[in-house]
Amino acid sequence: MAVDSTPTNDLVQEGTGRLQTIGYVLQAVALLVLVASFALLFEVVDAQSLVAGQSVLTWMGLGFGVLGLGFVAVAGLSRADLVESTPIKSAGVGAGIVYALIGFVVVGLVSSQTLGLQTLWVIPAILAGGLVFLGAVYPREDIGSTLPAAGFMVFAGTTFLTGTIGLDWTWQPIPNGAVFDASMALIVTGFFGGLLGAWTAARAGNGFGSRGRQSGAYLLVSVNAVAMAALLFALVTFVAVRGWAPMTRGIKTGIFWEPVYWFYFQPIQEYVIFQIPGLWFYWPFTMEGAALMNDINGVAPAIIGTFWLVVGAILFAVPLGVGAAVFLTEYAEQGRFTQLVEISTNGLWSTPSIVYGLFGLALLVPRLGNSNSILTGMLVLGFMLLPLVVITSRESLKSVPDEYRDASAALGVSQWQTIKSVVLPAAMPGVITGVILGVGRIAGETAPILLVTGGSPFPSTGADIFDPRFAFTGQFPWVSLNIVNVDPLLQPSSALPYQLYAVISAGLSENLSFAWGTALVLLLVVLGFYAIGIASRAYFRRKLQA
Amino acid sequence: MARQSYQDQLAEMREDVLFMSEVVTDRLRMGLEAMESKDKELAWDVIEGDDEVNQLYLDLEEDCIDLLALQQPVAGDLRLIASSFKIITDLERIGDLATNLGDYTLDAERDMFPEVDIQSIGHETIQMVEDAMDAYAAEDIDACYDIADRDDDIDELCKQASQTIVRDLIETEIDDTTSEQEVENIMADVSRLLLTVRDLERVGDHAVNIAARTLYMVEKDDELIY
Amino acid sequence: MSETHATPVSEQDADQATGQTTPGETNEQVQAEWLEYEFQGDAKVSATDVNVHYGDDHALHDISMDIPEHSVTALIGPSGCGKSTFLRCLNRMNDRIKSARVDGSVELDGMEIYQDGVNLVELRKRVGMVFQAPNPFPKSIRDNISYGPRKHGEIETGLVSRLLGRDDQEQEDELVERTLRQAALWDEVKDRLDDNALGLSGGQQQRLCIARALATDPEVLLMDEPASALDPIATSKIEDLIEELAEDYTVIVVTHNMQQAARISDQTAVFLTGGHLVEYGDTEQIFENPESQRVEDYITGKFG
Repeated sequence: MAVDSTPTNDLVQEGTGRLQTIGYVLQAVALLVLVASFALLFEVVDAQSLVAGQSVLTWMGLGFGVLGLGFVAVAGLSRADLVESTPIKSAGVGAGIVYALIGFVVVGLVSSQTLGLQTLWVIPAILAGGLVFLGAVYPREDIGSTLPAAGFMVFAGTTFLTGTIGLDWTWQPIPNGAVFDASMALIVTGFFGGLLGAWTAARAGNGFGSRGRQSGAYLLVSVNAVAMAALLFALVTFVAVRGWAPMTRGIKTGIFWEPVYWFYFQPIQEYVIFQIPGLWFYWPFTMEGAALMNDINGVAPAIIGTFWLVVGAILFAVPLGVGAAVFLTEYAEQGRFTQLVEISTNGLWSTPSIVYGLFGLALLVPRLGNSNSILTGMLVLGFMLLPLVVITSRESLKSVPDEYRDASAALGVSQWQTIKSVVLPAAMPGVITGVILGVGRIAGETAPILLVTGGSPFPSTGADIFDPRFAFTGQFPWVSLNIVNVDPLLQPSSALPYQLYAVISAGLSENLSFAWGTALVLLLVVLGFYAIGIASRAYFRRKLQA
Repeated sequence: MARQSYQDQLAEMREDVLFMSEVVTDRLRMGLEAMESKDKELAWDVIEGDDEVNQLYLDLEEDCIDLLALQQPVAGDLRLIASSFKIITDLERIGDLATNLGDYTLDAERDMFPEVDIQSIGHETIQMVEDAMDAYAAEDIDACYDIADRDDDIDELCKQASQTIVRDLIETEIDDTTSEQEVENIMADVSRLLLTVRDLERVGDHAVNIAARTLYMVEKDDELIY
Repeated sequence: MSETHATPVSEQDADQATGQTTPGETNEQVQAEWLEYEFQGDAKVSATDVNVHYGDDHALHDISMDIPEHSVTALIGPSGCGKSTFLRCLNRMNDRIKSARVDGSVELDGMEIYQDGVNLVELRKRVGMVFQAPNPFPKSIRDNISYGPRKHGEIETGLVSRLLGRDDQEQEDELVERTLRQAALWDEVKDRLDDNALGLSGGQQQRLCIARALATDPEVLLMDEPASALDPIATSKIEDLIEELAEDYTVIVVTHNMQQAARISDQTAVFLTGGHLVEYGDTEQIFENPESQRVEDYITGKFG
């Protein structure tokens, strides 16, 4: 195979439409194969499930076949200059290595399994790898990057369609080890084959060369992004689907009549009562605790516990953290001290949460009432939140441009006033981002809560902390105003992650739905905190922008 | 050196001014020569050559304006351009005066008053113009003062020459034998000569102007201007 | 006062002020009389033997200048010659740079500003500064202007002040209108005083910064290349503004644009490479017949 010279490129290329269409079609087929492999992975379908009359296995085999033939066709068309393409001299070493690896693996598998060569499978595998490498690198790009891929596709397609790997196929490479079935083979082949096919098709469809490479890279990046988003979505949906039913069980709403005014109407000797309608709403899962007399047990105490823990942690960590960040950025000289603080803060942020729990248990619990309490939990979670607040606040403060500080100084304003009025407001969005991220972490931490806050795993009532009460007393000053009850702060409490842990430990067989419901509530509570955070950040951002 | 093309343009402008002065002094010489030898052809050359001088003036004027607009000159460069601007005006006037000499030559029939040495006055003024331009080229301020002094001498010579001419006129005998035509010729010759003397004196004045502008250019000193 | 005022310059300063030369520059000694500038009245700002070091780098050498009031003084010179450094000495902004050391004396209305016990807040109220790139705060236009007076306690508004009967809302409105008119910006923004200042164009932002500096009622206005980040139309608006401001304030402008210095200033000081003041005099004289050959070479563009 001679190395051909690069064809000259015209500024305006005609006839790219045909090639692009072929490319898009092949990309679509390849991506379908990829999606099919994910579907198999998540057990949405099986290898033998029927789709439009044929098994999934058959469809995937067909897909491979189409891809293989398509690539051969593209190579031929391009080589015969029937379509406008701009391939460069060689497909490149990178592509060569990829194809060589595939060749190595495929030939290795075939030679060791089908042909029965034991340890000698390495030899044909290496040979194959080398040949494929040459075949990819030596000829012009439009051949070198399509034919090896086509080879693999045709091989995979024929393997599946001819039943070499059929619906009953199994493989146990190591005795008494895992058994692979057709689904697994399809998943693996579909994943790699689908990606490879899509990548090659993207490059081919855009005429190879630098345009082709760009399209290929773009495809890989997009697939990556979509897969990531899909994964996140799948996780959330997974939880939501399983938790929705238990969470919403027993919701009742209704109208009740509320008397607002009444008087005694003499002529009929009755009270006349004026009533207005009110709406009542009963959602057992979030309004009830766990008690024997309940029809439906709920996680209200856990929600209250999580809420107060997060609020307390924020109240503790944010002022401290922002203050420390202000000192480190605005006042301290950048030197060994600040570097030391930076290192220790980073270290604290990476510390496992159970270490914090242990710290709380050993140091704080004995001093704060010698029992588990919400207060200790607040402090421990606050310690966990603190490093992140310091780190993000510092970054945020550093990113406020110096021009503001200069302008303020030139107006004769002192440094603290400048920080308070210009620098901190400008840094607010960054600080809030840090708090949002931190809250996301600490709201879901189980280990420290387990150690320092957890009380009864299935409580019936929540901590009664916010309890404004106004009453007249018999002694001076004759009124008492109670806003916050301090006692419950020193009592143990439940929290959502702890509740979930307790449910799971109690045995998942009876309590599975309850567990899912709790998980969904936890997710929603965290999302709720996020929403508050994002809204306040958006508010601050709007104030700072034009 | 920075602004190389600007420096080159300034140098070229100086060269052009010097070239214009050479053309003008040539014309003056030709005019005097034509007067001396009553060469009518030469006189015509002088008269027609005025177009060239005017064209040179217009071109140089445009160059100065361009430099002012496009290069924002300051300090010494600005003074150079402003002074050159004025100097070419003086040179153009000198060119016109040379043309006048040509006109006089065409009209003259005879040489009436040999006592008056037009030629030496003329060459003296030409020398002044050349010296003034040398001072411009060399930025020599002593020479400028020198030229101002020499102009006083020229003025004196011209005054004497005029007086001589008028005295001779008065002493010319006019009796019944002289014809009307002759009287007219005498009058014409006299007025031509007076005008010639006056024009040569003006050349001297223009030379002083040139020296004055040169002094301003070098020292920002307007002492000699007027 | 009717006595003429001349900048005192010691012979020693002049002899040492040769400075570094760029290739082609003559090794000319600065002469004392080139630095003398005579004017009527007292000097508003007076610098004597100011030397500035950034670490080991000797950025300014023995600068002595007297600046008359109600005028525009331009400081020109090539990049890195120390003119911005000198400007920052006049309101002690160099104090904010840790490696900077300032020696010598700077007097404002005859009072030394580099002595102990100087109230920096008061100093910077009286000597305002406008920077090269417009830097309005990310606040509303109104808040930008009232920022200085608010932080100095001169303006209080809000619920509490209203309850206490001390609300200064009217004063604030009057201040905002007055300074915006002075900065020739009022007509353009009077309907959107509560909009964020970052939404204005570059030229408008710079005029806002000028208005903000004027809000503290300064006597001296320092401007560090105020128009260099702006397009020609915005630049000419700023230049007109500077000429107007000179009637009420003493304006000192650093610029690297010589034509701008020629257009707007009454007197010009020329700094050359190495942080030396080489000549200081009437703008007309500097641009028509400077005494120093190096200055002539610099402003005609041959060197520097």
